[in-house]
Amino acid sequence: MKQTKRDPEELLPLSLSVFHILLALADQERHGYGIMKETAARTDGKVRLGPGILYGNIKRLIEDGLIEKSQERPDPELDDERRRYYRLTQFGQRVVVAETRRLASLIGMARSKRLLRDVKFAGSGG
Amino acid sequence: MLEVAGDCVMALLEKILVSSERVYRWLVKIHPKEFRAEYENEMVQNFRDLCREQLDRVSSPRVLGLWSQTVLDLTASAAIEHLRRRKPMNTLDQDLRWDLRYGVQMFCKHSLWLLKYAALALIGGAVAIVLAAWIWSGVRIWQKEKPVQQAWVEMTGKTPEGYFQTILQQFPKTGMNETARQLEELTTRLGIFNPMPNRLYDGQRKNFVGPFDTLDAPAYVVSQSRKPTDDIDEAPAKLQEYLKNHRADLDALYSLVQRSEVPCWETDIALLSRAPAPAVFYHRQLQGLIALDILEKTRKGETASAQVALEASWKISQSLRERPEFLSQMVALSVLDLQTGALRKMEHVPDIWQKRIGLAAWQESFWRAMELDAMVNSRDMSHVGAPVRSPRGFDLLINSPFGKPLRRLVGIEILEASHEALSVIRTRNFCVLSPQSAVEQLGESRSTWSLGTQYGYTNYLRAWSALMEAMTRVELTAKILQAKEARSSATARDWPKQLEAMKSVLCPEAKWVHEITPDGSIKLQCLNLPEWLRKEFPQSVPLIYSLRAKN
Repeated sequence: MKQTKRDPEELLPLSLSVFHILLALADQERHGYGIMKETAARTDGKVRLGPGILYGNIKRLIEDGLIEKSQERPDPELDDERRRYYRLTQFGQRVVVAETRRLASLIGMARSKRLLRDVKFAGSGG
Repeated sequence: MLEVAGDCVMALLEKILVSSERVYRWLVKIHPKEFRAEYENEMVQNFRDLCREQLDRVSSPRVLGLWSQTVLDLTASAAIEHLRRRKPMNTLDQDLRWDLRYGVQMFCKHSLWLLKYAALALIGGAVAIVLAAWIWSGVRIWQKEKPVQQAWVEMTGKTPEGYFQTILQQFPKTGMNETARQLEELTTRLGIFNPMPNRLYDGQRKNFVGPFDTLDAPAYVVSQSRKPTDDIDEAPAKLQEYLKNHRADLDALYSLVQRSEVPCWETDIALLSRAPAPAVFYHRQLQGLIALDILEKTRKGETASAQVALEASWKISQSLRERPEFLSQMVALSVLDLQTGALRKMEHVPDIWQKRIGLAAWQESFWRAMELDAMVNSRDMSHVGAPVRSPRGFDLLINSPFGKPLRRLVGIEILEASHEALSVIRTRNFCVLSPQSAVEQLGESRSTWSLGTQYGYTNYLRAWSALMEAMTRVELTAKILQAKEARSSATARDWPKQLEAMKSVLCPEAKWVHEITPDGSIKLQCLNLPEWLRKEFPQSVPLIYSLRAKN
């Protein structure tokens, strides 16, 4: 855990892989395979993280203090005890929110240019 | 039935899973060490989960697709980790890193189809090759099997299978007998170790060169046997010393062989090429030692004890002659060379030796051994699965589980090629045609696609030329014994003016002549031996031999 007082904006923009990893951990702790599955499911298989890219990013996200290894096991009876779980840190939470806002502002810009007239977003109501 | 099929599929999938994981674990090693220490096990576990997920859908092509993604994933991540290890990333590095990653992702996205189709093309090509090989083998087996069997029936009176079974009955599996065991104890004391089969343990291996600083018989014995006169040079001091120090062991050896049955070592023809076989250097060293003793005794005029040693030498070599394998006959032939070398120097050799070294018996045992050898090579190929060396890069296919039909074809072709070689030996006149020329002619007549051609059928023709070469020396020895016998029965104890039966049995044109020289010696000479024999073995055939006058 380091530099939690840092400005999240310093790390933006996030790469696609990093953003998806942080998104996957936004609602619950997951192990590596869980992150891969969640990402593939959420994007209808369009984004598939391989183990190499996944763990390279996990290593750097831990170093940057965005995620951390979790000591708890959500459901130890159902899971392989050798798996390591990861969760967002508070700083990581701020970074993913900042990135989402950045993307949202980009979307806003696109809207203002009337580039997204026909596109509907889940939960946006329009 | 369905359950069995299901089990087979599951076993295959499990195999794919285990192999994939093994390869993946190996590929992960391209990452930096510290990265692997932290994440290797997790990466492998994730890959295993991914594989299992694909295999649960019983789809090997999916595993191939996974592999194409995995290779790109590992390449990209390893490149990034190595870059990062060199120095901390600054913004520019991170941009580059993302560019690299983006490039790889785009490549994956747009070129995955290429990898998939390349993999499918490779698999399709491999399947096509296997199918083509099966069809080709099937057709060739159908074309060749019956004619080859018929040819063997005409030559031996039995089909190859029937012939092999008969030999198996004639020579059942045997162990080492008591004479052989005691003989090995004695030869060990003499510094000669028998490595057959694997009896030469590590402690002895450094002494395997034997007591004469050579794997072979002592150089002195070999040079004396090739000398074209019957006088014997004095043995080097080292050898004389050796004989003196080991006198008791040598006498014990002669006594053991004289009073016991013929030594017999392990035989198990059913093991084909892995069957126990005699060790050539053990017999060369042992027989070389006995020949050395015979020469020394003859030189000192101890004729009776030289004959005892000669008798022991013969009985030991009988253990080789009585074995059916080709290798045993070849070893026996090389031992015969040492025996005849010593015989030529001896006085008063019992008459039985004329018969013992006769050509007919050797030809017969060589026939049988070569025929059996062809069966062994063929069965080795089609029944056992011995590794194959093919000339056209078929090794991978033939040695794989898919190569069974090809192996069967090679087995038949070995029988076919061997039959041709053995027919040439039976029918061609080697007094005119050299075995080497026969080998070349056979080689030209055989298809280069015949894999069986590669399996040593030419060895039989070469062995036959070695037999003819040895038999020339045998004939010379027989003539010398004949001359010595005539002289010992003559009242004046001079060389006889006339010697009987001076025709050579090797070639009708060849003829032995003799001449009494002014100093009272006799000179024996073989005329009109085949040109190839004189050319190919100029060193080892003493065609002119002088026997000194009797003092």
